[in-house]
Amino acid sequence: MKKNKVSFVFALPAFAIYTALLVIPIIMALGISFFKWNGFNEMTFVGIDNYVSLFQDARLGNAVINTVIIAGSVIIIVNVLGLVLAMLVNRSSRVNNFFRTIFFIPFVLSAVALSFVWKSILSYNGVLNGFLKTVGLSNLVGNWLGKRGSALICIIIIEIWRTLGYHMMLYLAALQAIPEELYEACTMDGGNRWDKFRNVTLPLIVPGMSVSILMSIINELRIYDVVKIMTDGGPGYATETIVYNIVAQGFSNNIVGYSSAIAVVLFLAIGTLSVFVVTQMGKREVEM
Amino acid sequence: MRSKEKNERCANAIQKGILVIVGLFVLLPIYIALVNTFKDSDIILSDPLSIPIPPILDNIRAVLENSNTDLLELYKNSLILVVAGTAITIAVSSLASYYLARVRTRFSQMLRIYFLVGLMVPYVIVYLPLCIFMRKTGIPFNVTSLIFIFVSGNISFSTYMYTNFIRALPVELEESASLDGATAFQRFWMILFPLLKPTTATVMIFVGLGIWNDFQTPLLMGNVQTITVGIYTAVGPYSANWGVVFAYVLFAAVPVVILYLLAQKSFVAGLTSGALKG
Amino acid sequence: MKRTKMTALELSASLIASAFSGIGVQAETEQTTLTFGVFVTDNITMDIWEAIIEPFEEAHPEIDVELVMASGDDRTSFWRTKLNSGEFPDIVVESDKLVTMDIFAEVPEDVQALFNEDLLTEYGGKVVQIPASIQYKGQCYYNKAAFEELGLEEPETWDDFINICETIKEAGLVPLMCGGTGDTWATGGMYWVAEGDTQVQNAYSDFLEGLAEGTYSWNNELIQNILTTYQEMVEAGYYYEGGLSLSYSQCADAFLKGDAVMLIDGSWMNATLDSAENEDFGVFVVPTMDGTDVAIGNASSWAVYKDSKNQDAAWEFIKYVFGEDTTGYRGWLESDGLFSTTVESVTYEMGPVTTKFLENIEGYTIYSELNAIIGDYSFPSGMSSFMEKSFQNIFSGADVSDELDSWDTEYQRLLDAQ
Repeated sequence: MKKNKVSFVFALPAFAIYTALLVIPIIMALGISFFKWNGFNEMTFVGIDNYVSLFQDARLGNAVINTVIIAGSVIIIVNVLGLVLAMLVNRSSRVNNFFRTIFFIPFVLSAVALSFVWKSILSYNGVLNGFLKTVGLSNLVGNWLGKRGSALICIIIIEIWRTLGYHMMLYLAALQAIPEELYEACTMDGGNRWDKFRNVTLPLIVPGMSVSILMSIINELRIYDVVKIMTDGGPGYATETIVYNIVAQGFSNNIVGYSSAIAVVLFLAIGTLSVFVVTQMGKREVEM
Repeated sequence: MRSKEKNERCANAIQKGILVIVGLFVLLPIYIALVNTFKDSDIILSDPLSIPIPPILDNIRAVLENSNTDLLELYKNSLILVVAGTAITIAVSSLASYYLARVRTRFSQMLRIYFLVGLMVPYVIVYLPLCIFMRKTGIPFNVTSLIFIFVSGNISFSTYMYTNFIRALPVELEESASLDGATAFQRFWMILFPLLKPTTATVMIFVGLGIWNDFQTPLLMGNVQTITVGIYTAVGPYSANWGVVFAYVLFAAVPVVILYLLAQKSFVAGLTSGALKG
Repeated sequence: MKRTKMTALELSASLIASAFSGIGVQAETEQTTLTFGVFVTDNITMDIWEAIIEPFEEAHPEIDVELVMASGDDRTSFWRTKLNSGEFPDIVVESDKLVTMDIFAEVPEDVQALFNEDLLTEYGGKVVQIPASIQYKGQCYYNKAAFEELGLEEPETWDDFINICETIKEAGLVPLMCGGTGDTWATGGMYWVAEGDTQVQNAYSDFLEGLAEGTYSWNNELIQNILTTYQEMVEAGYYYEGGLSLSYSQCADAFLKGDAVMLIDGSWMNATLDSAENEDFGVFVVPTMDGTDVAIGNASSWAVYKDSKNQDAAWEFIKYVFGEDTTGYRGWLESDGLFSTTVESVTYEMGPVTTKFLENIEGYTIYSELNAIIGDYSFPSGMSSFMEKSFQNIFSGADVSDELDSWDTEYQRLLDAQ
């Protein structure tokens, strides 16, 4: 049997493009993080000063808290609800296909498009308040985007709206891979709906669940576009996220070395979290 | 017997109810954007939910007549970036995945992980160093470079998808072909690639969508005006005129939504084909 | 690269030749493309810029001017990114924000001669930018009908102004409009211009120098008073409740529709009102708390990139626009309510609001904004946005003294990072 020889040359183009345009800049960013630099004049070596400062930066701390609140809420709701919806539309039918299709539409829209639409709804002079006034509920009219607490909640709702369909699809994929016989076997053993879910569904969708949770962590920790357009990090710093802070420090304040350091730490945090999730879920994987 | 039936029907109703409520939540903003594009801006706030009869085309006309934006140019740029970017990504990623999936060495294992790193990177970390790198090496800031920049950002996702999928395919098909004297490339192209259709569809959609919707990268890396960048810049002055804002949103989003609706069958097939197993 | 250098040389050679022979520029040169970095707003549309470059291109067919538009709301960041990618335009507007990066070419004497001497600024001992326009900020536009109905008159003192606010509030209307989303400056920026930039410069002659040296700090009694008054005004309900969720366009629109009676804004509003022949609004100077007749006006500059390969063509362009044929220049000034900076004033027909606006500040001392002062001690990059966010915090109830302490810390941090 001739061995299936595939040479590294196959991977070369991808390797070259990836390394040149992504990896090298990342390594450069790592290098820059050890300097004090305004992006244009000379660079001054400062060792780990940037890293030390970032742990003492109150504004960054606020951004981290905001990001964790947003990410935490979205990750939990989107994964639970995504699974529920996937189970509801699992069986192939016209109605279910219709729902599958429309649930995914928000994910197809650009952050720009959807932010403008949501802005029109949530702005003080927007559709929601307009509607409340028309139906005589003027006392419920609120400054949704202009007040601290509600602004953050608005961002959370919008992120859920945007990614729910995507996670539903991921769970759907996982559910469709479970053979029907296993459910039948469970019924024959006298199991009810809840038993089916706990003993058949849950263990077998662990890989799918890990992908979904992983993707939501990676995406929500990096949230920027929606926040930039909806509230511009405001009011004040009420909805500022980590990436927003990085962009502000690096591009507006010209403190490039420091912002690179923040980006590196974020990257490491996401990486560590990802590895943790994958290994934890890996332990719970069940072979079919 | 009866109470069990009743329970069944009750459960069904609740299930349908959840679907309808979530469906409304999902569709409402889209409905609002769609319907209010055709209304006069002044009445949008007082009457956001009604269907306009007859529809007013003033807002659409405002977008078409805006001297600051050249819609055709914007669409053209977006299309070039998406088609070229997606095609190149698929080509290089599937080839690379062939190697990663079929060669079981320590090196290829490490390479797999190497490619995965890009998935987690907050892309903002890359902008400034990339600019400097391009300046030092003389790489020009134009559409071509932008295409390859997009490719570099999508290789992680694509190789992940392809590698998983290829791993799940039996090696026998290729091995019998190699016995017949086929080269590695022939085995890849003639036998393997056609089988990768579902994954290719998924990659095409995710990568294409990502490129179409990106509004930061084209701006910073070459001042290329895509449709998404275009509406971001154009809406500023009109942001009080909701009707026109919605018209802009429509111009940016409708092509994508239509494409999605047409392609969603193969797309769902791609997702559910097992390409996403661990 | 050699080609364009040749072209510039050829161009200058032919210019010198033509200066001697008195004939117009006729060199058989290759096409030069000048990149011109600009931005667009509600008032300043692409057409305005086209109207500036078209006559020039006709008079100089060998030079093509390409417009490069700054996108997004942070134009300074956009230009900086362009700088990093080596794609900085040959000429750029609003160069004042970038001048401390030392990237501009020295302005030739004959170009300098076109402008009002008082307005020429130096950086590093050289004149590196030309003042292109003057813009005033910090006057209050008001709804004439509402004032009449409530029997109000334009205020002379700060107390008058507060009384006006109170009267309007008691009548159940909203006294002041503001914005805040995306256009962070639209929250407290204009109030600060009217009361902060004015009083601080009255009280301290070299405030920025003092800040840099450590002899002055932001957290002093005067500024505390200014901002506490602001906070009290917000708490008294004088500001539009939803202001923080509106963009500038939306808040201006809401003001014009009557959602509030007054809006403290800048001279661009003159253009909006006069071009629409809107007679419903008047304008008065917001009285300073210390009673002085001071107003805020900045010159906005253009500059030529020092590493530009087309510098001669660039200076040709500037000389044309501000000297030979000022029609395009006039169009630009008129569109945004700006005023000319040239020795020979370029004027346009001023509508009633613009006329009143200028009358209001006749005889006043004009300062520029603190953040627009060019010199050795100018504002570090990022401080303006920081202050704007801080105003939003104060609007939402933050402790004024704590906020001012953070101004001091941030100012030093940003200066340090320059």
